[in-house]
Amino acid sequence: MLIYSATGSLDGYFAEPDGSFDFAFPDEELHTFVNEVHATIGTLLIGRRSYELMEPWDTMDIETADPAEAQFARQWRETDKVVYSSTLPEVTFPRTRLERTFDPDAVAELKASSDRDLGIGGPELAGAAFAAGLVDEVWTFLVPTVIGSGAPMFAGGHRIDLELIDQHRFGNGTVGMHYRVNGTRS
Amino acid sequence: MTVVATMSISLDNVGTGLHQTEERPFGDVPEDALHRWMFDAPQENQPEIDAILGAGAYVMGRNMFGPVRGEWDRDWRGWWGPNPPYHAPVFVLTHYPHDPIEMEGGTTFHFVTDGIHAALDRAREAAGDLNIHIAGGPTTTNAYLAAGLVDELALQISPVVLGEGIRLLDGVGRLDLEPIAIRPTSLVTHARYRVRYPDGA
Repeated sequence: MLIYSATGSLDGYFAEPDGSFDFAFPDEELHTFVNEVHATIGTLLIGRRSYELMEPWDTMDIETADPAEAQFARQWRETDKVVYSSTLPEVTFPRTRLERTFDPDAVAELKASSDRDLGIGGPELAGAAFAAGLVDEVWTFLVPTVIGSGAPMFAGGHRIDLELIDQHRFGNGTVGMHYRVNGTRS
Repeated sequence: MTVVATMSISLDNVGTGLHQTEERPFGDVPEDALHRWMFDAPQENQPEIDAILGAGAYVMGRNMFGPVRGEWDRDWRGWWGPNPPYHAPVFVLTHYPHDPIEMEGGTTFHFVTDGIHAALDRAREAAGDLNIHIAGGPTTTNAYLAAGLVDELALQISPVVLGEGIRLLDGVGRLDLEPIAIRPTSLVTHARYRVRYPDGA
């Protein structure tokens, strides 16, 4: 199964126009929950930007981190990563390989041969996966703020038919919605 | 008295489609995409339907009222038949004057040509102790949000990403929201928020 999980503003933005997403930083409760959502993921598909942002999870001191961050770091280090980039010269993190292009057939094969779930990070990459009909489930965490502009959580202009299978409300006002993907049309 | 903006939207905030015609009130958005919950599962969603239709007065944009553009060159009485579901005064924003239209069941369409503040003032006078609903479409609701005039946002979020259309919350600036009630049903997520404007308005 391939899962797209994204946190965004109520107006549907994943990040501010400058790429920052301070508004979306999870508190302990939300972070713990997101860890559980990600716990089934054995391989994570990410873009260059995510790869560069995730470096601290490989280098941070788990002993001194708060529990939710430490747990996320542990999961991150135990997850295989595929980085899609046409420009990165190489990838240096453990359990990480580099792909130059997003090949839907290869991802479908990986999905079929994996015991554990696949996760996909970043709206652009997810848009390519939606276009190829590869995404099975979506988790959206809607933060109760309107930021006005930025990078949309759903890129590519596809129509995606969903079915709500679970929902969770958090103390900080964030609402998590878990959907099954019933179909995608471009 | 509370000013509540109510709207059915997609997960990517689309409230209606481009290219509206008389045959397609929601334009390029399929008619059932955002309102199926209301027609296919009314009982399950009855509290929210009652709330949406429980205002003392409504404000809506001209495109939500109908497909006529420019001068009122033909008789048009809304999309809702002879007995619209509002049963209260409805203030329609337009640049073109029109006499009020009295419908069956207590709905009267009033046409307001002097802007969103004037329409809200008239709705306030008409609503008594009941709430005022900004009924849409998204362009109208965004104008009220941008002007800092909305107290609560009552959304019905359908499980669909539409990819294109007219989006709620576009151009409204920064807002902080506080959830009042979140309730999922089988076909929609009801999400009601209190709106906090950054300057404390």
